[in-house]
Parts: sequence; structure tokens; C-alpha cells
Amino acid sequence: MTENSNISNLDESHCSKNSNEFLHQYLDGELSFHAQSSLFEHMAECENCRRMMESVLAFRRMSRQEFLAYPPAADDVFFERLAKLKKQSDQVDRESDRKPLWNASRSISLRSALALASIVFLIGLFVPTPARTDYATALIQLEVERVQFEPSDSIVIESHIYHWVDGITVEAVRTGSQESEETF
Amino acid sequence: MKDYALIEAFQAGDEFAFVGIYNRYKGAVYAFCFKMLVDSEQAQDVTQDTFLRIYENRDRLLKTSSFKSWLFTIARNQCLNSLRRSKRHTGFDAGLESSLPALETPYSKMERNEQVQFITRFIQSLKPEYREVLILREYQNLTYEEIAAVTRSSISAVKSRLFKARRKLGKVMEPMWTLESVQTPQEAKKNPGSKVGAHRQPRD
Repeated sequence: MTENSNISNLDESHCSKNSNEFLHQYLDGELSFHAQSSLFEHMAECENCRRMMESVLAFRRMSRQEFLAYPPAADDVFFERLAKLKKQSDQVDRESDRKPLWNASRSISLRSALALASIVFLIGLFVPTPARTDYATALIQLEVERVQFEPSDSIVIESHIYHWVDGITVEAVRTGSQESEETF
Repeated sequence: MKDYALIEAFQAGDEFAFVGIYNRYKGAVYAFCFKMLVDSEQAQDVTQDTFLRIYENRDRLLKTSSFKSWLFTIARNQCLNSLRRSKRHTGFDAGLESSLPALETPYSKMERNEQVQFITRFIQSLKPEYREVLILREYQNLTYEEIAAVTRSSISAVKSRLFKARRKLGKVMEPMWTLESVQTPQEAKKNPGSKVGAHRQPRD
């Protein structure tokens, strides 16, 4: 049996869906002022809607006859339960703090972690190490360029500083009769 | 102190703020649970469960737009669980009228306890999905939108259920109005406010 068939169609048989909905919205204080006048016009002629309104208003009056207070004794029970809950959550927290390291859950096991570390160590032992070089010397070598120039092209400012005709001054060490190492 | 400030203080570790929230809402939650379950002891248990859940889930409090909606959502879920456990579903059955008090007395002559008994049994006769919307609307004064949030349904579904529950109320109360209308003139004089249409809207 459907729910609709169980419910009275008290006002639906005579009233339009709109007026029916307007009535309920009015009872809930959700009907606009503009729509109220058309509802009242309808209610002036409709006994069913008037009875429906009376029923809801009577229900409201009757429901206010009942005073439902939360019993004070229930407060004590609640605070006892709350204290128990707090105690339980404290215990859970402390237990997790106290859990020994070897029992802690890990994403990988201790054995596989140790095996992995040993493999990495052994690979490290067999990897050939590069020849020891002086890092500073290597840097300087990168900047050293061997050039050749005619002595007539340059003017010697000091023993190791030369001035070229195109306006470039270089610091260089003479290595041979016609060769120099220039450092830029 | 506003809800937001209380919740913020509670989340910051202020236990008194939680007590403030509890004191502010325990009555409303209890009333809702009592009407849903129609059992005082069960309602007390479910009310306590609701607040204990709030205490446990304090981190989620500010993520929700309306605290009241969230609170009633928890209470409603607890009530439905409790109803499922006790298998006390009562619906729109054929024997509805027999489960309600006999309407031999006009509304105006009903004693206070008769009125309370009548609405309690009427609510009890509704299925939980109709019962919850009626209680949230009539007792807790929640808007359609808030009820939809609590019951996890659409506003149109809320309206539909609420209106159906009211139509059922109208049908159940129909004999009352018939009895009211056949009062003698002397009775009507004694109870001028009891006549049908006493609260009728003015015709204009």
C-alpha cells in the first residue's frame, strides 16, 4: 500500500495544489505577503482548508501543554559517561606513546631495511673512486689558455702584464720565446 | 555567548564551553528524542550519546555551516538506530484510528493530559520519516532548509512529508470538529473560544 493512499486527501479533493501548499507555507511562516490574500480568499470559501488550519493550530496548542524537561539526574549520568570517555581516550593516547620501537608498525621490515643497507654499502666498496686531483688547480687549468702572439703586437706594462693593441690587457707568464700562458 | 564562540572555545580545549553547549541544547535534543522514541529512558540515553559524539568529533564542528542542524542530524541518526534496534516501527497502518484515543470529547473539553496523550499517540502512529519532519518543524521550529539538512533530503521531499503528516492529522482530528460544531448554545457560551473557526483568519 502506498503512503499516499494511506493519507487523507481531505483538502486535495476540493482545493488546488497551489492553495494547499500556500496553506502549509502560511502555517510555517514561509508564505509571502502577496500570496496571503489569495489564500485567504480561498479559505473564505473552503471549509476543508479552514479545518486543516484549525487542526494544525490545535496540534500546536496541545503540544505546548506538554513540558518536556531533561531530568537533572540524567545530567549526573552524562557527566559520568563523559569522564569515562575522557579516561579511555587518555589511556589510548598513553599506550600509543609507550609502544616499544620494535613493535611499532613499519612500512618495511627491519630485516629488509638491514639487507638494503648492506647492499648499498657493498656497492659503495666496489665503485672505483676517481683519481685524487687538486680541485683548485683543476679550476685554474680550465681558465688557462695557451696563445701565441708577436711581441710587436703588445706592450709590456710590467714583467707579466701585457697590453695588446686592440685595448685588451692580459696577465700572462712567458713560457718560451714566443709562447705565453694567459690568464683571463 | 554565541554558538560560534562556544564551539571555538571548546575546540581550543575549554571544557566549560562544552558544558555550555550541553546545557544550551540538551532540552531541545531530549524533546526531539523523546518525541521520536516515545520513551523517556531511551531518549535520555540517545541524548547523552549525541553529546558524547559531539565531544569526540570536536574537530569537525566548524566545518559544518549550522551547528543546530549538525546536532539534530546526530540526534536523528541515533534515534533511527535506536528505533531499528528496538524494531518499534509503526507506520500508516490500517489500525491507526484504533491506536489513537477515542475522540468522544470535543477539543475544547479535553483535559490537559488527554491532549498530551492524543498528540503523543498521533506522533507514534507516524512512520519515522514523517515523524521526524513534523517534530523538527512543530517542536524545534526548524525551517524547511534546516530540516532538509538534518534529514539529508531535498526541500521538496521535506514539504511533501510534512504536508502528508498534516493531512493525516486533519483526518484524525475531523471527528473533533464535528463534535465541536454540535455543541449546545449554552456550551458555546461557556467556551466561546472553542468553536470551530475561533482562530480563523479574518475574511478580507
